[in-house]
Amino acid sequence: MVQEDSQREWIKGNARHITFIVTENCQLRCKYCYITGKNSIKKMPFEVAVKSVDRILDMPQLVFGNEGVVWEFIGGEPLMEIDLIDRICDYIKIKMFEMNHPWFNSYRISISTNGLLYDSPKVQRFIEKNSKHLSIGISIDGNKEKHDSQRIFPNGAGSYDEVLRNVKLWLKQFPEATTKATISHDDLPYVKDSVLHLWNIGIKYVNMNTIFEDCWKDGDDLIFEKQLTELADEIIANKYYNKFYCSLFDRSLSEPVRKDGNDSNWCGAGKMIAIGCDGGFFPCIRFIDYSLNNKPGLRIGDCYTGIDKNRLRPFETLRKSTQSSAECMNCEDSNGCAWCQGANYDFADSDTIFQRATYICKMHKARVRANKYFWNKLDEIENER
Amino acid sequence: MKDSKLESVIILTSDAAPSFCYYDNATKGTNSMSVEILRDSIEFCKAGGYTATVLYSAKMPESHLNLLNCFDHIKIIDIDDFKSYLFDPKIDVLVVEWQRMRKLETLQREKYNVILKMDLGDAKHLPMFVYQYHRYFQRLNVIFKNIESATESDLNQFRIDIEPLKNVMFELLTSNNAFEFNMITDRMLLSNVNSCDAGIKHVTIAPNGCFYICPAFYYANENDTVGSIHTGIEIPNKHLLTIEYSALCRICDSYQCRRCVFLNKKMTHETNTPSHQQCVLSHHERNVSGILLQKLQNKHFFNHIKSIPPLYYLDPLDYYQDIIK
Repeated sequence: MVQEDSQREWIKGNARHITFIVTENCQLRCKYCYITGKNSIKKMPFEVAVKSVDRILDMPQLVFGNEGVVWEFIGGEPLMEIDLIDRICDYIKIKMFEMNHPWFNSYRISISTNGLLYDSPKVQRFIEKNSKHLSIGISIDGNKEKHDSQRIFPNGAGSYDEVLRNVKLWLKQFPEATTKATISHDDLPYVKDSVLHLWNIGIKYVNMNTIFEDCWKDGDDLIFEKQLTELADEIIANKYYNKFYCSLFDRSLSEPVRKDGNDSNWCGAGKMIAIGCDGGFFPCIRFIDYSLNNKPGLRIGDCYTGIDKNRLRPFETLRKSTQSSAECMNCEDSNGCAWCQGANYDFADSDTIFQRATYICKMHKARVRANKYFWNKLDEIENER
Repeated sequence: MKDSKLESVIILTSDAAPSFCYYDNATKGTNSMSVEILRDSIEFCKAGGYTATVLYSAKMPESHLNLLNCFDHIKIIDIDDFKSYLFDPKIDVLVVEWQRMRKLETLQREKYNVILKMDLGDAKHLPMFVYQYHRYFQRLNVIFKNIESATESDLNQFRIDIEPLKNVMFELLTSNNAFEFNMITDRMLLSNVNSCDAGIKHVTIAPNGCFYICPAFYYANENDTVGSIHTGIEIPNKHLLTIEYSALCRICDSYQCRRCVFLNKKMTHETNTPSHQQCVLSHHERNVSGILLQKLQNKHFFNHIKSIPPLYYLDPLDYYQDIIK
């Protein structure tokens, strides 16, 4: 299968990610969205953004060891605040120039959007102005059935048609763009057709993952496995593996778990900084109050006082082994089994980040079985040649 | 059901009982434990075969004392209240605030278990204090109250301040004036970590009849309970209190560090992760112990004890990051 190319390879991933939550508002009410605290009240004042930029650019420990920076903008829906984003980006560029900062000209701007406002004149002007440093990801979950079953407006109507209109423009402007699609219980039957659809409309790199929440029902793993094996057959029959990428298929999942296994952390929480609307610093967006259902937000500092290094220490020691049960540590299917640190914190039985949530267990094992099927079949064909 | 690892219970008879550890008891009012809860607490200890440590307040009602007099336990008493109660210097413990350390002079000529609570900034007085008052100590535990606000400069000053302790302790240890001193002799005598083990080997019953991991959790947040004497003890993710699940503590050889899970929680948000301040402080103590031990061994004392090698770090996080690369 072709490998994902794209902006991720920029300076070999050795960049600090700084995420601004410019608004907690969104036009959509996606059923699976972990941001359950959406509201039209909280927006980031420009002064808070300025304080945050000043603070971050002045912290040597953030700059040291990172060749560049990715300034990310997220929401809610960030393009609802495109004027603010534009002002922040201008300020960042001027400030980095004035400071002769190591990150000057070694930066990217990244925006994750639902795509609804993508063709607006203001957004288009912003794209044109920042095109050399800009990445934009539009969330499109697959075909109309899948997308509209989850990504809906407050009145229940699906958003597929409006997004698709802008996807065409997006792909014209960013031909190598990737999308990040999400799978949950209701849309499992559309996984195969959705991947094929996304490739068909021109998105060559499709990242897709199952949600970490406790939504899975008995039998979902079998549906998922069936969807993936049928997709595997389509990929092999049509040799799509020469043209496209889908993150659901990864050769390491079909390989035995190494006994001296990888003990690294899946998640970059703590290495990145997410800045809330009020200037609070968080290990990632998933630790901000509006993303949490069971726990309070977990701050590591703010734009006024900087980062409390003690609050980062637990994240420095997060590894597979420091948060997994014996069952997970001994699991023969653990290659590629992911977790979300924020979800772990939200679902933990106590106030800790060191308890791994395992709601995806059966779904991951289904994915492993499908991967074994796919890679074995692909290898057999390759060997026959 | 009996908790297999639980060994002892701390009974906090009043909010006004002295703080003997890293917490502030001024956050509460003056609630006292009812005689019924005290009776149930004693029964809980007896039923489980747990030893008990009872924190005494200034004025304990007669009814409480009658119950306690018939029950083996360790008393923790503020030095101001020392004369109000029967006190066994061999097992009971005196709490002394630094500002009132001269009260030690009012004690009879015996050796006591003393917990001295002081600010980090007062550490410069410790060498002279130890030299002057050593005759009162069977064991001295020094607790620094303001670790959480210590800056790098404070920590470095602490290193400078405690450095003369090696000379004072050398004199005392080589002249038949030995006593146990948590900051200095513990590391010399221990071969593994001397965890406080709050929540594992001991729990606390507060005046409200609820269990807490230790008194500090009660004073910090009364809702942070882990059960009650009627419902039993339930500590979610209890394993995170053990050293095996602390990535930093399990690679650390500052064995004298008490691994205070309350301070960990307060400063890093995680019970299994020590703060930078806690780690550096413990390593300064460790290093003084190491130099003292070498000095003693040069004079052929304590030759059976394993030496304490110099380290290139003061914070085991630095070491951890090196070994996981």
